[in-house]
Amino acid sequence: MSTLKVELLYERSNAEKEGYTLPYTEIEEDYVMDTIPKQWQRDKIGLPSVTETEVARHFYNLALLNYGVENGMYPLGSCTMKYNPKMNEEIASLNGFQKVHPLQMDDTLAGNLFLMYDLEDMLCAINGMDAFTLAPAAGAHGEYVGMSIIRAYFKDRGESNTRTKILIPESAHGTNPASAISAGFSVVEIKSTKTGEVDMDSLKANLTPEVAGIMLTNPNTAGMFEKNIKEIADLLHRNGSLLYYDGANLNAIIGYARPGDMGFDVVHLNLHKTFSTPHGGGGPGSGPVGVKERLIPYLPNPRVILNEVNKHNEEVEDRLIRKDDFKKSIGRIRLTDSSFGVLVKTYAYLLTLGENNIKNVAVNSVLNANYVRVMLKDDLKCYIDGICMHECVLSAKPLEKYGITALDIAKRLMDYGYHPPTNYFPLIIPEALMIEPTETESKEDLDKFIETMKIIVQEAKDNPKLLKDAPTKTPIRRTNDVKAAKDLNVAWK
Amino acid sequence: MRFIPNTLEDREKMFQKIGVSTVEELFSCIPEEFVLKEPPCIGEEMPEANVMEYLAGLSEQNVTFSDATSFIGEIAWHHYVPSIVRATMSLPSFYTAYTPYQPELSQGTLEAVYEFQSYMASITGMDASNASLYDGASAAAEAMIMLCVGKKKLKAAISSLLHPYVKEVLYTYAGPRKISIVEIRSSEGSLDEENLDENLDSDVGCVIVQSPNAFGIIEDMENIQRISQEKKVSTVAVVLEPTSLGILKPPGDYGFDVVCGEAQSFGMYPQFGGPGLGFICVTKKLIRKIPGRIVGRTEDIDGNDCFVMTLRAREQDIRRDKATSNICTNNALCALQATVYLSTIGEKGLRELAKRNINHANFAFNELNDVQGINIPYKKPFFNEFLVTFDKPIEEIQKALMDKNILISKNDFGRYYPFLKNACVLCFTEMVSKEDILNLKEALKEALQ
Ligand SMILES: Cc1ncc(COP(=O)(O)O)c(C=O)c1O
Repeated sequence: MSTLKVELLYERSNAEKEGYTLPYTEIEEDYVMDTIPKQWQRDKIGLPSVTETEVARHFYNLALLNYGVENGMYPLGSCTMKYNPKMNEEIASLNGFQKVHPLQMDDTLAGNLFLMYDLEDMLCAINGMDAFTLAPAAGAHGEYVGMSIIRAYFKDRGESNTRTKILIPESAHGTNPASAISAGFSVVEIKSTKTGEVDMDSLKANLTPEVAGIMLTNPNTAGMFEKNIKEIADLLHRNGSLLYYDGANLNAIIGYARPGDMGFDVVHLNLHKTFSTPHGGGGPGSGPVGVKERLIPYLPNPRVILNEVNKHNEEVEDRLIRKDDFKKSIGRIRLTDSSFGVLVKTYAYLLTLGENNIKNVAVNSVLNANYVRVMLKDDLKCYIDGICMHECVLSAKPLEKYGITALDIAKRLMDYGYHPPTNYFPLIIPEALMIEPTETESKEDLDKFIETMKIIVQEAKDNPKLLKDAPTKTPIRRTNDVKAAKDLNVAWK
Repeated sequence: MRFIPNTLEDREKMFQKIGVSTVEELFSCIPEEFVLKEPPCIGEEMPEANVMEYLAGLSEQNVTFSDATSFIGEIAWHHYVPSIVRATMSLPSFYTAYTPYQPELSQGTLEAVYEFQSYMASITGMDASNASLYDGASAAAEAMIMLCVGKKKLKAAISSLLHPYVKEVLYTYAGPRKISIVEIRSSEGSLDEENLDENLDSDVGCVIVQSPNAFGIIEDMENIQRISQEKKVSTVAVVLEPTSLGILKPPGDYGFDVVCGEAQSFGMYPQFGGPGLGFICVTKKLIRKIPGRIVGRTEDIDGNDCFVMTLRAREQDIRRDKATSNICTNNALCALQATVYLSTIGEKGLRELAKRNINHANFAFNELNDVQGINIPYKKPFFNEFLVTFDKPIEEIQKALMDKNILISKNDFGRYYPFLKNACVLCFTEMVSKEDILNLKEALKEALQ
C-alpha cells in the first residue's frame, strides 16, 4: 500500500482547466437571461476545475489507499465480505438495465419487471416466505419496513394502541432497536445468555400482551444458532405476537434451513452480504423484506404483480404490472421502486449458483469459521464452547496481562496484510474479535491467516510494543478521533 | 462451484480438526425438523456465458433510451455520464470495500467522501453534508424527523408541490413518529405564500419545500425563507434535480436550515430508479443532529493529515434506540460516482450544463406552447421540466407517442392534483436534440388531432 499525502482536487484547481465538454446541440438560443430572474442566479458554485487526466490519477491513487476483497482476506464478522463476482458488475452495467426510467409505462419494462418477479419467487423459495418486497435500500431500511408492516398488521386488527413493544436481545445489532423506534415502537431489551442466545427466563418475564413482536438474528451475532427457536416462536405466537428475522447472518443457513419454517413472520435480507453484491465502501445495498401470507396486504407500494385482467396473454412478461394502490399497504418507502442495479447482481448470482450449489455456501462458510475457531481457540479465548456457525467470536482477554486489547490485534493484522475482524461486537463478549471468513476463502488462505494470528499472539507476549505501535505499514497510522470530533472539519474551505 | 475453493480433501482435513465427520454433524445445532429435505426451487446452475446471454436478452426486452427518446424526469434524470465515472467506481478496492470503520485501510474511501461532502456543501450553499443517504425521498423524511422529533414539534408543513412520491414517503415515515402533516396549498403552480404564513405556528417543526417543484417550477425561496423565519420555523429545501444548482442560487444562500434530496443526476444513469443517491446538507448548528455517516479531517499519531468517520456518537451502533436515525449502510459508491462526476465536469461544466438544460427546455416550451390541444397551465420560471395538459385522454397520448418511439411519464398528474386533468411533466436535458423536440411536437400534433 502506498502512503498518504493528502491532496484534494481543489488544490490543483485552475479556472482554465476543463475535464468535460458538452454534447453537440443545434439549439443556439440562450434563454437563461430572459427566463431566470437575475437575483435567483448564483455567481460561483465552488467546484474545482481540473482535467480528466488529473481526476483519473487522483482517484486511482486514492483506490491504492483502500483495502478491498481482492487485496486479501476480509474476515469482518457480521458483514459477510465474500467475493463479488465480476460478471455481476458487467451485467448490471448493460445498457438495457442502465438506460431505462422508473416512470416508463409498464409495457416498456418487460425485462425488468420479469427479473423482479422471478427474483421475488427465488427469495421466497430460499426463505420459506410467501411474498417479498424488493424495495428497501439496505438492511436497516428493511428493518424499518418490516417493523412498519407489523405495526400496520396490529392497527388493522384494532390493536395498535395495545401492541406497542418490541423485544430485542441485548446481543442484537444497533440498527434493530433504532429501526423499531423509527417504526413507532418502544424497545424492551431482553437478556442474552453467554452464547448470545435468548435468555428464556428474561423472554418469558417480558412477554406481556403489549408485545407486538421480537427481532431475532439467527444465527445470532455471536455466531450461534438459537436452539430454542421453536419454543420462542410458539411462545410469541401464542401471545399473539410476531417474529422478525434479521437476515444479516443468513449465509450460515442458506439452502440448509429456512427462517420461514422456523416460525418467522417477517424477514429482511442483506443482498450486499449473503447474495454477493459488493459493499461499495458503505453501500448501495438492498434489503428485501419477506412476509407470510397474512402480512402480504401491508407490503409497501408499489408491487410487481401478474395482471389478472390480461389473462389471455400467455407470456408472464407481458402480464406484469406495478400496482401502487394497495389500500392496506404501509405506503411508499422511497422515491423509486428498488435499488434495481443491486437486484440484477443478486439474480445473476443465484442463477449461477443454482439449487444444487446453494447449500454449499452455508456448508463452507460454517466449515471455514469452525476451522479458524478450533485452530485458534488455545491461542485466544473462546467464551463459547462448541460448534459455531458462519462466524466465530474469539476474545483477546487472555492477553490483557500483557496490556494487549482486541484493537491491538486488529491493528497488527493490518501490518500482515489482512483486514481485521470485527472487534468489540457483539457487546456481550469482552475484547471480542469476530471472525467471518465466508465460503469464498480457501483452506490455504485460512492456514496462512491462522499462522499469522498465532505469530501475533506470540508477539503480544514477547514484544507487546509491536502491537501497540501497529499498524506501521499502512498509509497512515492510528488516528486521532478526539481531534476529529473536537476541531470538526467536514468540508474543504 | 467457482466461488468456493475448498476441495473435498480440504473438507475432510478440516472436519478432522474440528472433530466432526459429516456436514450433518457440523450443523447439528439446527433442529432436525428445520433441515431442508429438498433444495429450494431456484433452478439448475448456469455457466457464466449463459447467464450473460440470458440477462442480456432480458435487458433487451426493455425499451431503453437507445430505442426511444425519453422526455421523463420527475424523480430521475437522463444526463450523460462520462466514462471516467464507471472506470473509477469499477476499481475493486473502491467497490468491494466495507464501510470505512478502519481508517488505516480506508483512506481512499474516506478522502473521496470528504471531497463529496465538500462539493455538496458548496453546491447547496450549506456548512456540511453527510456521506449519503438512500435516496431523495427518504432524505426528506430524515430531515423531517431530525427537525420535528428532535425539537419535539410534531407538525410538519409540507408543500403540496413536493413530488407526489416524496409526499407519500413523508406520510409513511410521519405516521409512526406521530408527526402530523399539513399541506400548504399551491397557487398558480408554486407555493401559496399566504397559505404558508397562515399555517405556521410554534408547533411546526419544519417547512419542507421542493425547488424546482413537482411541476418543474422554481420556487421563490427568498420569500419562503423570510415567511418561515418570521415565524421561527426551520426550513428544508428538497432538490431532486441538483443540476439546477449549476445556475440557481442555492437554498443555503437564502438561509435554509437543511437542503436534502436526490443526486442521481450527478454521474448515474436512471437505472430503473436505483440505486440513486440521497444527500442531506445542514448548517453548522445542526451538524451534531445529522443522520448517517460523516467524515472529518484529523491527524494520525505521527501527525499526518488524514480522514476518519466522526461524530459517531449519534449513530445506531453506539446509541441504539437513542440514535438520530437507524441508517447504517448508505449509498457510498453512488457518492463516489457523484464525486468523480463533479470533479470531471467541474465549476464551468456544471454551470454550462445547467444553462444547456434551461435552453433545451425553453426551446421545447416555445415549440409546444402553440400546439392545438396542448396547454401549458403555468408560465413561471422553470429549469428543465414543465407541466402540460392535453385535450385528450393521456393514455391515448402515451400510446401514440410510444408508437413513434417517444417515452413520456406514466404519471398522470390528474391523479395527484384534482385541479388537473390529463396532465404530465415533460423533461428536456442535454440528451435530447432539437430534432427530438421537433419530433415530439409532430407526434403530439398528430395524436391530438
Ligand atoms: C446483524 C445486522 N443487522 C443489521 C445490519 C444492518 O444492515 P445495513 O447496514 O444494510 O443497514 C447489519 C449490518 O451491519 C448487521 O450486521
